[in-house]
Amino acid sequence: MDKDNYYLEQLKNGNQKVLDKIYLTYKKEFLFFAKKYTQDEETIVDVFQDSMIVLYENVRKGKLTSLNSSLKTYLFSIGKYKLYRFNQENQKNTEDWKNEYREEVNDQLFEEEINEERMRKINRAFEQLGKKCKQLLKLFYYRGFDLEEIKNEMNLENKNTVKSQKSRCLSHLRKLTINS
Amino acid sequence: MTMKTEQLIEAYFLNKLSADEVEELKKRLQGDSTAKADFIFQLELSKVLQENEKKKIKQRLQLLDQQSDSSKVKWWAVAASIAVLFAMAWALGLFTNTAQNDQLYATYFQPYPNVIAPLERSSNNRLSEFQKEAFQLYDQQEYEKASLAFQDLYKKEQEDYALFYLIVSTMGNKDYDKAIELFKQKEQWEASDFEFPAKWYAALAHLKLKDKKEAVPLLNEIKMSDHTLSKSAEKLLAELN
Repeated sequence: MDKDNYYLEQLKNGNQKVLDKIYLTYKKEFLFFAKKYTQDEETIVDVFQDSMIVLYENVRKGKLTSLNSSLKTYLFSIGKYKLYRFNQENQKNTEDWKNEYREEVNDQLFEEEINEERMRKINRAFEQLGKKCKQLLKLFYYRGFDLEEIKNEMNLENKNTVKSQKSRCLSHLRKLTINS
Repeated sequence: MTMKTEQLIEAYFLNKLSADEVEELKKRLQGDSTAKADFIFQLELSKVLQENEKKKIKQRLQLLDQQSDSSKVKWWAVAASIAVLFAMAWALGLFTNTAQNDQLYATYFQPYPNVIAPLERSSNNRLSEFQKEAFQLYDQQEYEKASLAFQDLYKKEQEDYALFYLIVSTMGNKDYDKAIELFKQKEQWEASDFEFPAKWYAALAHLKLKDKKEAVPLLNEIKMSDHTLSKSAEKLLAELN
């Protein structure tokens, strides 16, 4: 197994130390590479960190399972796109940018009805949940595990148990959210 | 909410819907305000969880930057990088237990060379009296006293070398649980010059405690690195399998 695939496997398992490793390995080179797009080092570091987040999430959610190129190429192309977007945003006026942004997220249903205040409440309520509920909801809503995978990960009896626990956790969360 | 709507919602969050199915879900939700409110709640939850994870990673990387900025210029970085493991007739034969892990531990565990304050070097002048004393005890294999000295140093300076030699001294003192606890106390070894040596000793401590499951991932990390310990880790892994 080569190093990049080993890294992917480790990231998939949530080994964030490998994330640190990748970050430190390529940071300097990215700083150099990105100078073509902007001279502001703070922006570049910020973009590189955000690119690492995209990499990590894609691996964790199973969107990236194997590489056609090297990990570095993959990572840098995310960064390059982000830098490109950053430059565009700076040139256009905000109104244009907003329209563009809207278009991009349109595949999300009812995005416009999401309420920030409610999200803050959900966040506070989530912290009050028990360990098992937190784990289950994270696996489903963040990691994108299906019921079968959650059953295996959490050693639950069967898919129906997962399903009923999930809806119990959700309704508990909803109650906590209303009270918070 | 109908069964079908529920299935569609579930599949939506797993990213498994076709474009047609997304349209169907949209229609169904528009005609069912309870289901829609439920869906939006789940949507908000998934956003919250994603934002939280993002924030955590961002903070982790920012912390890493701070740590590596402050550690890279230290003089012992050079010392650590030129360190080569050499044999010290120390642990060999110390362990009479015949269990496999014990044998492997005994074969592979040697105290890490004192790369900071080799006693014969004149460069000792730049060391404080406390540092000199700690390393002297370490070289004399007075591990109990050495660990106390390194503990004091680490409390005072919060530097990686002190923590690292504290861990090795603690192992020399045969307190493996404590050594692992100390290793885990530092959240991110990655920015440290002692990353792989520290992981190596932590892996050995786990082996000593018959905890192969914890040892193997650490050894794998070392194996995949460019560190001089990479070959040893590879060999040890092969023996474990």
